[in-house]
Amino acid sequence: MIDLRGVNLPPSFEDLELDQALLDELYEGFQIRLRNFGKDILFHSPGFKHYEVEDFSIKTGPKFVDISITGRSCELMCDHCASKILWHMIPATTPEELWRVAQELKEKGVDGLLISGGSNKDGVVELYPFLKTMRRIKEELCMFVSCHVGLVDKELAEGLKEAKVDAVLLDVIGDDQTIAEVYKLPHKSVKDYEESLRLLKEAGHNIVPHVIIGLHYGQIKGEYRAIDMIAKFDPSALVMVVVMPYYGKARFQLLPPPKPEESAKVILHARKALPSKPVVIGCARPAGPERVKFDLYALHAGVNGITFPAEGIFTYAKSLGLRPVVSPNCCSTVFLH
Amino acid sequence: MATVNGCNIPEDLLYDVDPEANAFTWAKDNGDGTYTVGLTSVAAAMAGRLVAYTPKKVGKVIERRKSIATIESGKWVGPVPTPLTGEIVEINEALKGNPALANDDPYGAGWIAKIKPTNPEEINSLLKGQAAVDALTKVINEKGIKCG
Repeated sequence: MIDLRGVNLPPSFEDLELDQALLDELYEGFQIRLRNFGKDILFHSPGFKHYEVEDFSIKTGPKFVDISITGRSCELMCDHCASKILWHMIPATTPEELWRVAQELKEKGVDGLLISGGSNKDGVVELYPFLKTMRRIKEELCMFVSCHVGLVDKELAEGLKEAKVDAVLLDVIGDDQTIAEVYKLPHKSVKDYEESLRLLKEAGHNIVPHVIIGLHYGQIKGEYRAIDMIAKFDPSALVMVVVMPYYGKARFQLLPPPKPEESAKVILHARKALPSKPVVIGCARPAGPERVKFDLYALHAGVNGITFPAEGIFTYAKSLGLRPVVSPNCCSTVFLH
Repeated sequence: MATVNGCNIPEDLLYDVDPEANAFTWAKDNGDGTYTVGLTSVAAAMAGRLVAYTPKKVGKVIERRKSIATIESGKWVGPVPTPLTGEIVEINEALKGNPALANDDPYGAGWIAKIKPTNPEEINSLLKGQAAVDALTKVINEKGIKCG
């Protein structure tokens, strides 16, 4: 058994001001991960972004990329994103274009797609016209297909199952005020997200919900409730991300994201709520020095994987006795490991 | 100043250009034994609008083409390879608060670091004048880069 208490930090982290009491608290999460998952830790680097730090990079071509069925367009224009997350996705705005793009990507060696897009004013990504093409991609191109959806109804949940998608991803929000103000959905509530989880699960999907830490203008608000709600639906994995102020509208840009210490407590809660399901850190989180701290705390809290690990984290994980597994795939595939 | 596809290339700077090494940087002699180094407009355009700048520590000696800082945009995270081996004597505090300065003013306020070279012979390997313009023009054309 690895004992993290009293662990020495490497010289590259010597300037980090770490909360020792918090590290002690996070040790419970680390014990859970060792008990239920052993020493393997995944480090993901999906192909939509070039990622190279001193101790981590993947030199092969992209294996997993993102596609937006609405291009850069999003009717919701939520305060935290303002559609910028779509800007780096490959546009495929008709079923015919999706098929052509998928074929081209397959020829280039890509074998996984995340299909998503902007939402309509009811928080729904209108994937309905693309379902038959997704099934064709599954059957004829044999690619891994995950869909990052918004709210779903029974028709979409079942349609995605008929399309044979491998996993369904959904940002789950645990606070009505956040849904109304940040997501511009005053006519929706936490219950609608719960209902979407239920419909997806009833349709037999591998669900990989996402929780965005700091979604309420940098504050922690509905995150704990969202995690508890997700835990009731037996997810295949849980992805934790953190708001990135520079993606958001002015109000977000002016307010700091949560401190890594606050975020770490949310991660620990997730680890405890889902002790036997993979909990991973997704690609979205603030850049720069705060990311190092956040990733370090996340390691101590016992996450199963980290996407685009901050410089030094890969090496530090090894020094903790963990066994890194490098993956060119989206972290939503973690449940396949 | 040469301009290719909207990318400015001042002819009075020294350049390290090597696509294989991801090196598209410039260096300027400050006349006091130190050099200011930075990203070319070409490198800034390739990276996209920067959202983070994480320099190595002042006092650290970095070998030529090793990372003097990590920069991050929405689509690119990677090292800035120093054009010269040397000790970092200053980092750009303004760039920490506003990383996009490296896009808006790559040869001025958006500089990456100041270094004190420890292997002066390397300075002779840097490109200058028309040779630098030609090397960067080749990169711009091959990669289809547009600035601005």
